[in-house]
Amino acid sequence: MLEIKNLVVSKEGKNLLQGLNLTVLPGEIHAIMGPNGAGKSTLAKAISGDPSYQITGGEVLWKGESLSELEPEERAHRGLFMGFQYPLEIPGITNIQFLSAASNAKRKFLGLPPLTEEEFAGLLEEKMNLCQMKKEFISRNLNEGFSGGEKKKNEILQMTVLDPDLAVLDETDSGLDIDAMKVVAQGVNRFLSEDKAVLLITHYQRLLDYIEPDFVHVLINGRIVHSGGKELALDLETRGYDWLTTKVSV
Amino acid sequence: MTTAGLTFFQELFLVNQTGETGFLREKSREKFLSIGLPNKKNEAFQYFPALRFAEYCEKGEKIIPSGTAKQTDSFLFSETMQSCFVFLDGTFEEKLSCLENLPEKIVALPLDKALKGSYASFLRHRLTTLLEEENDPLALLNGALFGEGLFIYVPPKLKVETPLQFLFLNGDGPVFHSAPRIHILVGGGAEIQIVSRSEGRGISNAFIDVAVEEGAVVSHTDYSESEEEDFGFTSFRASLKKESFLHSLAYHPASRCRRVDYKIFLKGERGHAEIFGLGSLSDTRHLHTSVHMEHAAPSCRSEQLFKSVLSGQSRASFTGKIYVKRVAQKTEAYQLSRSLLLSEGPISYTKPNLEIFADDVKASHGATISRPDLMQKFYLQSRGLSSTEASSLLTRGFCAEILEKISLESLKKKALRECSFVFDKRDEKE
Repeated sequence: MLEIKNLVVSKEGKNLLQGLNLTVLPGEIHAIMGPNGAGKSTLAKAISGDPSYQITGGEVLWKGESLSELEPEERAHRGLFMGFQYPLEIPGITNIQFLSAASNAKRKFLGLPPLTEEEFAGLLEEKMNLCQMKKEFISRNLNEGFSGGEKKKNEILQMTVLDPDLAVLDETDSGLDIDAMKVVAQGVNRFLSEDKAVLLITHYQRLLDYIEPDFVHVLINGRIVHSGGKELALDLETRGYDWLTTKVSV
Repeated sequence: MTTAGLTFFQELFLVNQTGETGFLREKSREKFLSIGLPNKKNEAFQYFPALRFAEYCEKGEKIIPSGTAKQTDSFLFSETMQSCFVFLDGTFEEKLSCLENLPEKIVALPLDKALKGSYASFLRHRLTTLLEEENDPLALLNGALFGEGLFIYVPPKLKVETPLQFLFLNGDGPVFHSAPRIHILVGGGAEIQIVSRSEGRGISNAFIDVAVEEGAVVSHTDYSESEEEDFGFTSFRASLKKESFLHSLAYHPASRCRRVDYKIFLKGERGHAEIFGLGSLSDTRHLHTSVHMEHAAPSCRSEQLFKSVLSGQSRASFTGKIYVKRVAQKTEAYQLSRSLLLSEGPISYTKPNLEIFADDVKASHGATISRPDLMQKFYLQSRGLSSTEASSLLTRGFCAEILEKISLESLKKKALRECSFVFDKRDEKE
């Protein structure tokens, strides 16, 4: 599904990822952990096509197709989704206007007719119930004035509506209280199936109490330096990253 | 004083100087001639295409009228089909107006006639005060050259549910500078909604004055979508008494060169004025906004928000002043101007000003000029919207804050609908 080979990514001339390798197959949950500045968010942004990051080496293959030449929207149409660490506020555009436009853009790519306003409103209401979002958020401007938790729930709502094949969730747990985290985790678990996958980027082990990863990778200095099963997250919780940083230095 | 372009007007000054409004015309003409046509030395016209205007005026007589018979119906809103005052080439035409829905209690009179009747004392005093305060050359030009003006009186406590429209049509006759003029007195506790709209070729130079009595509520929309109009000017004057409220919004999506000049005086305690404006400019279009918001009584509140979206080689300017007199303690006054530049060519100038003589005041002024935010754009693209769709949606979002405030429901719907269309087309072009 997603194959990353020797990926080098730079921003403003500085290499932030330096030869990263990762393979994600359908049905898998991968967690990427690592200290601040290790390159975790860079990985998410490079996959989703943030224009301020340049792929200067290696490649990212999505279902066998190279992503480097694709625009962000083309990646979205092909089934990629990134949950933002800091979802942006867009004044003047309501949640429903935005989601309807995004949903119909994907349907157009898939050769499906656009949903009517009524059809989409019905779909959205159902998905909002699943994400435990109040009805009022339908007509509120996109993320404007939302609390941290509401923004993250809204990211999960977008994921649920757009129904991607791979969701890259960049620190979706940051700033969430326990209840909100449970809602987010339920959303992710509901999304998962044998033909879908999740790449979870997180600082903390606690999200993994609710979403059980198949693989945990540690990213340090732009490379995956260690991989393991879900027990690695618990190990990191106890030992921190120092022992791996030392290992990398050696 | 530059004389370029003045010849055209000097010939017009010779006509129609008599009648009850003669004093207004004469004084306005004198004052106008001492100031001259708009020029760059006048701060309020620093960014106005003064030379283009002067050259246009010089050629004024040579322009052939379009001769298009105007069907007023197409310029009415669904809410104002039976409550529209029509001005043809600047002159109020009762016969062309559709006033079936006008409440009986509303008084609507030609200005000359009103100056002879029971409103004469109020009107004379009002006109004299306005003249003394007036220093805007275009407003003075209107005072010197207006055709048949209109006076409207809304009796106290009358809540007028039907919006009133003032339609300024140009182009059927050989008049290229039309100067419609309206004075409105809104009685204590009364409520009224008005919309002014200009259509046609040449220069439309309107003057609208509203005296808002205690506790009265006035909502005003200034609109034009004419692509033929070469220069469109609106001078809006309002004085607000105690606990009255004014909402005024200017929306000009297609004018070639539009200037809106506000002078608002908060003269009674707890008066509240909010004014908004939106311009969407492409090609070589201009939009210039000038605001003087004067707080002359305690505990008043004013808000200003003006936005423009620019592409092509368009130009916009905002020159605004909040003036707080010493007596106006506990004032709250806010002013913000924001421009969104969609390409390399356009220029937006902005000059917000605060002048405060009271010491217990909450006030702010600010300005932003920016391009569409790249991170916001990426966010939308990452959800599947194309670059064009994302830009269009962001621009629409930028405009929506103002469009949502349009009080005339049919115009609001139309504006929100057309806003996205215009920007879609523009993005594709650039």
